[in-house]
Amino acid sequence: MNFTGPGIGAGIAMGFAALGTGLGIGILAGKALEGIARQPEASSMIRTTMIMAIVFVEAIALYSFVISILLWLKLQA
Amino acid sequence: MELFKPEPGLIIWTLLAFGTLLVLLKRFAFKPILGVLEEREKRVAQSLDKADKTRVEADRLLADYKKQMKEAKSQAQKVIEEAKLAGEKTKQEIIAAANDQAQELIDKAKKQIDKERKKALEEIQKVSADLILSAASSVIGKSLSGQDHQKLIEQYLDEVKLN
Amino acid sequence: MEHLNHLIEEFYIHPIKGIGPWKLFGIDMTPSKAVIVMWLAVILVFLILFIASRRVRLIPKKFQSLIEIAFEFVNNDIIVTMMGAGNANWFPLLAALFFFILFCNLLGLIPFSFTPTSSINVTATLAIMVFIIVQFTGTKKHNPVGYVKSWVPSGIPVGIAVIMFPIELVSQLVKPFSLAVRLFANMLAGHLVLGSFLGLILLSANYLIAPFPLAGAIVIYVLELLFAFIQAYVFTFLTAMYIGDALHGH
Repeated sequence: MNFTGPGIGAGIAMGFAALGTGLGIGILAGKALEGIARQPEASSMIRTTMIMAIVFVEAIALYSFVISILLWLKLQA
Repeated sequence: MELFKPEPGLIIWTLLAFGTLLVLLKRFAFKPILGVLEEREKRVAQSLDKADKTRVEADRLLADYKKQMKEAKSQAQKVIEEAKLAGEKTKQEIIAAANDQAQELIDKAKKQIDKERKKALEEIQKVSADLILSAASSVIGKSLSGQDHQKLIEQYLDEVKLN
Repeated sequence: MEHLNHLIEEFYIHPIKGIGPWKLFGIDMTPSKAVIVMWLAVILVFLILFIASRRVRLIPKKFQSLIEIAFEFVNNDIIVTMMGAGNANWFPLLAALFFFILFCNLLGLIPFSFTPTSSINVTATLAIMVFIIVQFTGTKKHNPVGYVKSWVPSGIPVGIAVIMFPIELVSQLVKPFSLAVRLFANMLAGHLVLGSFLGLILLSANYLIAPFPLAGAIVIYVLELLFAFIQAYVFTFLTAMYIGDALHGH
């Protein structure tokens, strides 16, 4: 059986997921910091919202991670 | 695919474990802690309320005291001012009285002196006229008429007075 | 390759050997490592909170303050922010969920232990339980028709509502899935990365190179400690959000 297909697929999936999530979380945290710098008194609310948003962004990477794991396990089967 | 294999046993165990925890915590642990949290919140709110009230009262008292203090000060100032004024007046009065008295004394003394001098002059006039008359009559040896006498004497005396 | 295989096999559910097969209505109930750790978490949470609750004082000592911070956190940052004030009756469920997941995550970080929350079975069970609670709450608060209507904003044209309804339906069904996968994948990924770093130490087999993966493993371990808290928070937070949505509508 040819293992390269699922293996490459898993790697590419995880790589793009990391790229996108890294960009997303970077932009999010940057904007949140800007917000906190502009309005320090709202920092706790901004932080909570930022964590929530990061969690949603991160979930997308995690879906991709699950896909990669599935591909990996398929490779083993 | 074993990672994603459904495990009915594990599912049931999870439900059991979580259910047990929920029931136990609800029954034994949450109430006292939540109760004390609530009570503390109430207490804090009460003390804050009380502190607020006390502060307002204190502010009011302070304002009162300040006002009283100001009044007392102004009153004291007034009293001092009055006393000063009264003192000044008394001083002026005493000085004026003293001046008056002194003036009076001086006047009296002057009058006395005048009187004495007049008296003395009169005496001198009288004595000197007699003297001159007797001396003249004795020197001239002849009597003059009474009217001539008088005229002569007065003329002489005027000369003396002018001197 | 071989090494990574072993790493993933660490997360498979195996009945503990030596304990006879327990059967309940034909279901294999033999406890696995995950079950043991889960019950450990239950016992720990209960003991800690029970001891804390036995000697509560109005002026708290250190231990009580710590517990109170956690309680206030669940109450203020989760319930009040997501559901509004006056929802204190949801506190027991959400606090239990928070402490349960937190301690499952933390106990999984002990070496040779097992992370129950890195099993999709555990997280899916919790997520589906939350889903059922949310739907039940929504139907109880409004009637069934009113609940379904509350998915779409009131006062929008019928045409748009018809388009929006399937989207909202899908989003309702996706919620437990995302809830389960998020927790499971976070825990699994964290431990896999940790394991990979530790595997690199073995792979290097060289005193000069080994410190680097070791340092990496320590950093990831600290990160995992943080993630244990964040994931417990997020799970509880999202649960509160879903329940709040079901209560108030969109």
